[in-house]
Amino acid sequence: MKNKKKANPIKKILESRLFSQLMPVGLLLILVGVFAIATNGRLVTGTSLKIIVNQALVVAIVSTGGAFIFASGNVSLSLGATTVLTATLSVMIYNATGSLVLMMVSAVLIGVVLMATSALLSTALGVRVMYVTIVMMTMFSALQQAILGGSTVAIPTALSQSLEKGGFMYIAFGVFFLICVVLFHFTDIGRSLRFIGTNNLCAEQTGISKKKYLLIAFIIAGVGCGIGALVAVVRGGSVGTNTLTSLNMDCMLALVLGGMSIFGGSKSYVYSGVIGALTVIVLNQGLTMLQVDSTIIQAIRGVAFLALVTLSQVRPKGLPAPEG
Amino acid sequence: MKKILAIVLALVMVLGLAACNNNGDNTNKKHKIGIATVHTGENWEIVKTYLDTVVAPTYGWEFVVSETLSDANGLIAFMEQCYAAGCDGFINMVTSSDAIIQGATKAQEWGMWFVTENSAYVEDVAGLSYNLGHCGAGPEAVGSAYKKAFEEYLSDGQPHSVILFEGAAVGGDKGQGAASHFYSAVGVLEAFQEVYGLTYEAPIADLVNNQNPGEVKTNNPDVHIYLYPGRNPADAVTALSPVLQSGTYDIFAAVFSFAAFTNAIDEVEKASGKDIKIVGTAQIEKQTKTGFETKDSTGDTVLNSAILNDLSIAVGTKCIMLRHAFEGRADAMKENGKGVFLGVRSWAVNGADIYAKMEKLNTTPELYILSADQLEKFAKEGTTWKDLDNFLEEVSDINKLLSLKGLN
Repeated sequence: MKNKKKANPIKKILESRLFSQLMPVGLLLILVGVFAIATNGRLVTGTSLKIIVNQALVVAIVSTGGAFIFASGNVSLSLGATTVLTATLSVMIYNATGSLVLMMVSAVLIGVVLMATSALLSTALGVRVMYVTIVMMTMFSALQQAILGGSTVAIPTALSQSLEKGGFMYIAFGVFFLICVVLFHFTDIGRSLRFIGTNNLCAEQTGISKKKYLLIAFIIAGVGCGIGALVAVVRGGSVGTNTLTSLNMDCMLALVLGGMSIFGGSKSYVYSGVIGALTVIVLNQGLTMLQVDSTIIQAIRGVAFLALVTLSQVRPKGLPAPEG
Repeated sequence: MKKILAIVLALVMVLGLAACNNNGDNTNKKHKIGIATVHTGENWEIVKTYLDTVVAPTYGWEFVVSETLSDANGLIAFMEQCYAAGCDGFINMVTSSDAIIQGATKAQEWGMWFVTENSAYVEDVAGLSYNLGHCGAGPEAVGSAYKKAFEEYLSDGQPHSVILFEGAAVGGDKGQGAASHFYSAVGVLEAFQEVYGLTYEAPIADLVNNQNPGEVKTNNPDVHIYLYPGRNPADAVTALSPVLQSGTYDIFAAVFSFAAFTNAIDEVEKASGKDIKIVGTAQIEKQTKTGFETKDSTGDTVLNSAILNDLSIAVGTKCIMLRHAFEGRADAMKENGKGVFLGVRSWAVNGADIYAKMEKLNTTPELYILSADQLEKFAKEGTTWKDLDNFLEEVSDINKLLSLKGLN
């Protein structure tokens, strides 16, 4: 007598954990395969692959840190501005002191302080993270503008080259990524943040302090901003008001393309930023190699992202809607 | 599900590997040129048409053109893509000295010929063997054109006051901002100084390098000069509207994007019934034509004087430099082993009549200043950068240019 509704198998697949884990990796491999064929293998030469990795590094690092915030169901819009302001200040510190160590330490500390400020303001004022980070983004950009005016600050080319050739970018990324994987998938920090993202009310009722874990998430993201700033400085050699202006959007895009749920929670993966960043760069590189007009590349990217985001953001039925 | 995914992924891998094995036919390898642009709009579309319809068929090249870039990071990322795509020549239009240094260094590492569109010479990388140097709006020539245009306005014996939107002038003499903007502002201040015998509170270079907007003390109560440095015209319109409404200023000059200010100026003219002359750096494009042909509320033309630059001649010159390098004659484009600076001179156009002739340029393949014939002529063995420089000097005279193109 019971009128049992049969579950839609496609919807079931889309909602499955396996799909959300494999889809971004599969998409990346498909893109690589398609462009490898279309470019007669030029996309997958050693040089080309190294370039793809190099280009993805800054977004991969910053979004890996950002994944901790997104996992908690929050959106930070100040990752990019924090990274650029951190890069500006750390280069100025290097130019004032000539100390590479001081530049690196200060970059991480500045990143942490700037991001932690956002978290503290959000929890102290009881304002949603997104709104606080909008204000912080504007403030940081204005501060950088005030510091630099129309000029740029730069480290010596020889220094940036030697750091690049010495593998600093890969070491920085590798160490940070490994620590993040451990923290996110094998410690209470990651589990608690995902629980908060799934249902913050339940999480608090089971004794998880939302404020504490939000602060931890922002501190880790701040470390990511600091390391990302250093990598950006090594790659570009200089920082100006036009530097990495789209970084925040690139990071959000990378996270979503990499399989991170926009709702955070249990379907959050720390590697999403890396997969997503690589996907964006492969798409760009492949289309450039095929000499597709730059305006058409932008259009293709937009359509592809829209389709993928729609496909990857099916919210499971029964999952409580986040507040607000 | 897992099986299907596994099959799909395996297929992709196999196809990818098969594709890797396909070396393709490289016997007729074309030169590929990467172009990192900072330009958008009609003027840039004219250049793209020039590249496609004139340069590409003449030299047999292919072009890979970037999205609009703005900094060293973007430049390096695009250069990497171009290198992976097989480009062996590169035209850089990102003008900060940091970007040029990073770009030229990368190009050297990869053995990619590199030439920059810039108004200032970056000495640090001038000696790199793959760096052919710079070609852009000659900064002193732009400054002279501004000075000349203003001397003409100020010579009527009346006191005049100006608001000058300086763009990226700050640091333009030190490789930080835009050198052409810097010298444009210097030209305006020099014209005022000489015509009215003004005594400024600081050297002109220091006044231009001040990043804070404000009025310059002229020691003449009837002559006012307001400097506004900034790269964003929209912000400048907002900030300068109250200054315009003060009624003190009767000339507005913009070193770029004059059209962004015309509505705000027209509103002030309507309210005060007073004409404000507009002088601006412009390109040969519809926007400039509209400026010269449209009347404002006082019955005067919207644009009164234009300091005209032509991007296609600058791009064509850079292509000639690359052509020499591809043919093994890079030294012909160098002076004592260093890349040179070739300045494209600006034209001071005071009125719609002259502009009506100038606007015919770039409308057909033959009417580009560096048409196919010229591209071939200047790429021949035996020609050097001095021949190119002489040509740029020759066409700096509007009458000679119009005669050369049969437009006089």
